[in-house]
Amino acid sequence: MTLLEIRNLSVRFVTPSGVVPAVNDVDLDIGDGQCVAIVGESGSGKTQTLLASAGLLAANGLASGSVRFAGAEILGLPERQLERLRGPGIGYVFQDALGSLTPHLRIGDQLAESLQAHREVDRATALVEARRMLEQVHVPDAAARLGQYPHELSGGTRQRVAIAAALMPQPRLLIADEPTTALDVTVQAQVVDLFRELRTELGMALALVTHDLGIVAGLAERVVVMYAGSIVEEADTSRLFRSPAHPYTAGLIEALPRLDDDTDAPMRTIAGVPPPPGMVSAGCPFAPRCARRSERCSVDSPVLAAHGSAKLACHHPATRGGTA
Amino acid sequence: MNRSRGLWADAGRRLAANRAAVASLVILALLCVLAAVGPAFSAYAPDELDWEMMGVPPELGSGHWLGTDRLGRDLFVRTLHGARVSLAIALLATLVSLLIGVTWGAVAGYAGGRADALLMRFVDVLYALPHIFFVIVLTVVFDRSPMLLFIAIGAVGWLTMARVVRGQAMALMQREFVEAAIASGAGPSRIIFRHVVPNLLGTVIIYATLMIPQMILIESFLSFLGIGIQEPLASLGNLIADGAAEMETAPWILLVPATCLVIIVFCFNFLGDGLRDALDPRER
Amino acid sequence: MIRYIVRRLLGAIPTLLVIVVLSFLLTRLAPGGPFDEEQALPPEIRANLERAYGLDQPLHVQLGRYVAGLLRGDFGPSFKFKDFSVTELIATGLPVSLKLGAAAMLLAVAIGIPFGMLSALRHNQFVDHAVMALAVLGIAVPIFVVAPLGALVFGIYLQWLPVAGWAPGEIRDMILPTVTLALPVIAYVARLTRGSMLETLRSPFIRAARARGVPRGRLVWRHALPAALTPVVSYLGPATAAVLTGSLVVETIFGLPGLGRYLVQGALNRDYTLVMGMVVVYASIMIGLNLLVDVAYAWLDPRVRPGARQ
Repeated sequence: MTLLEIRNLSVRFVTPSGVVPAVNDVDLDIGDGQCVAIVGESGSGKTQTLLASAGLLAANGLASGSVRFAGAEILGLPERQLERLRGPGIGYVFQDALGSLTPHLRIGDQLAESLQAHREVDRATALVEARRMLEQVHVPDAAARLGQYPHELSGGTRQRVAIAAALMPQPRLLIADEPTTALDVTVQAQVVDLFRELRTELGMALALVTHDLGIVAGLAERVVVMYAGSIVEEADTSRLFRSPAHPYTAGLIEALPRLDDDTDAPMRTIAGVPPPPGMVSAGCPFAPRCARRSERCSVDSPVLAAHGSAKLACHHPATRGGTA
Repeated sequence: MNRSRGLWADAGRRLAANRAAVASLVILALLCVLAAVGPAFSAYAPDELDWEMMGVPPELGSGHWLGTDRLGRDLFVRTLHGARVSLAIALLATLVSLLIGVTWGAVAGYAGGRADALLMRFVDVLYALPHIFFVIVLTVVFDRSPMLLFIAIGAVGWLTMARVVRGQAMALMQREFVEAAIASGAGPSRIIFRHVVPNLLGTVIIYATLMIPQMILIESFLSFLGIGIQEPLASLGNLIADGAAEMETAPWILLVPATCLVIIVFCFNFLGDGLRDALDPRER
Repeated sequence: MIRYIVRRLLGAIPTLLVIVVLSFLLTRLAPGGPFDEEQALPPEIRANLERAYGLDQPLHVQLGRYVAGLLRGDFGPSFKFKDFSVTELIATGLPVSLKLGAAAMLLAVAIGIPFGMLSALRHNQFVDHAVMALAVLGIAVPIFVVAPLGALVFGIYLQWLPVAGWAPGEIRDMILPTVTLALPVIAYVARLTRGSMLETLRSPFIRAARARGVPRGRLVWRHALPAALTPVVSYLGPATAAVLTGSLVVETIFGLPGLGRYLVQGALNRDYTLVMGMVVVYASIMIGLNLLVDVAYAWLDPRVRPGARQ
């Protein structure tokens, strides 16, 4: 069953210097219990797509199209109804762990309130539940943490607490927006392990937003690659890594550091930078950086279409072993 | 040089597009001209008593447009005179504040380190105290001479300016042209006054414009209490005090100078805000 | 926390001493003395008077005596209110001024914060624009214009409230002076609260709390408000200065027997000891309130609490 169903979603921002498009006509499905990774450079629209799905766009952001959660339309829903959906429906973990906790409230209060906002429980029960949840996300010395303030915790612990806060009302879908970016490498690995563990234990769906393909491999079943506000490729994780069809995806995978690499070889990167939002001209937005571009690419924008078992938006997809 | 002229031209255009600021500028210019030359064209002198017209309300026919006070002195002329005195004192006090504040801030920003910490600590201590009480002590010392009043007011008004200038000066010290000047062996005073201060001009103009109404208010406040400008000299403050004493029977004696004061303060504030937007579009 | 307060109180002593010395030296440097205005005193009588008040002594001896007196709570004699010591004048004036000032501050906070919040929560709507227009008016129109106008409208035309007087326990006497004194502070607090509330509502932790489904009321009161109040709390120091300054005008206009009126009269009469005594009292009030503000700040934001782990 499809839990989150996004159709023709576009997001625009009204700024003093004009309307800036951030997301163009995105379709995306996430099934119950499924884990989908959304990958792309910053500014590719991945974050705004998911913020729009939870009704959390900034005040000057406009979403059009359709976002359905468990069959019910979300876009245009009044805040009061969104409040009931967020939490038990959709949970959200942000990149900025310190920023996602209210600085002047104790950890215990914030965790308890996440539960009490959605269920008729007294404070004591909620606090017991909070301690249990902190233990589940492996926060050491959980009972003592309840009385502490966010600034008293380390970065990794803060992110675990933020995850615990999102998990308290037991969401059916957890959106994790670059949950490891702000953390150092060892902690990153621990958080990825935590997500894997939580998925098997809690059976929730997970939308993982990241620019790091490395953490995708072991976690997601399906990968969606976004570039300049549009989806350029969508495929099962194993297939995507084995034979990326879009040159951009291929570039991302090549840019991954490999353990078997000659340590002296320079890291491979994709040359150039993505176009700034709103500056996309006719043709394929990736064309200026693409090694396989042709005349057609700079005039005719490719649309997302079925490509075997996957979806792809490219005129010159790579097939196994060569170009078409 | 071309680039900086372009900056000022840009700022001018942005200011011209701000209707409230332009209107304020026009009103202030008119008031200044009126205050400077208006009394000379009036049929009445500010201290001339009209024995037949004591405390008449505003009326065009009587020759006293805005009425007269208890002693029969023409309110229009007296208010213009008061505005002239208030504006003059405010401008001079602002100048005093500028001289102290810009020098203090620029030196602190230039020197950095312990000298900076010491200078700014002094500002912080003074900042925490109610300035007006020091002005009052100073007016007691200076014997309420209008000449020295602006020094007293200016002497406590420079703190904000010093803080702002210091912050900007510190940023400027990191810029290439200042580093180049240091490398070419320019002395401290040359760097401060030839390289740092000229580049603070925009900020200084904004804060000076916003400081003038503050100074007018302090002067009027003191004059209202009788500690500032003394009779027979008029300032907006003591005119308002006169009016307040008579308001039961002759409210216009209060309303005329009070309106004039409020207009001046509003205009300077709008102009200052407009200048800030024009010269520093990144703010707000 | 108590150790922090004690340390801050000890830290205030040098500040206060600087103020005393500075204002003492300034008043003594003044050309002319307190007895100048009494026309043509015979030199012997003048010398007698100066001896009686200790003005013939060297400056540092006068200063030493004054500071020693202050420590005993003795502010010296008033030069002009001949039958009273400055301490007695302070004792009669302080309760009036404190009552007036405290009521005005309370009013400013009780009205300014809710209106600022309302404005922020109705951002860019009619209520917001109306409140902010009023706030601009309240900030720009000086108190010595508002006070007589208020007396004119509510006291004389409408006859709702008494224009002057301060009968003990008479609430009606307090309304006009308190409201007048509070108006500019209300306006400033409202503007500050609005700006800071708008900024807080855009901050990531509010978005995160929304993402957890925290209901709107709780979001505003528990999550946003305490964070939004910190700049308002820091403004309470300057606000006290504004109220103290304004009280000079309000006490003079409404004829209240408070410290402000004594200060103005002292300044008019060049009554050194009276002016200095008032400045010392006002400075102490300011320092005390600034300390209170810092304590309130720590209460609102655990990160600045003394002993908080950074």
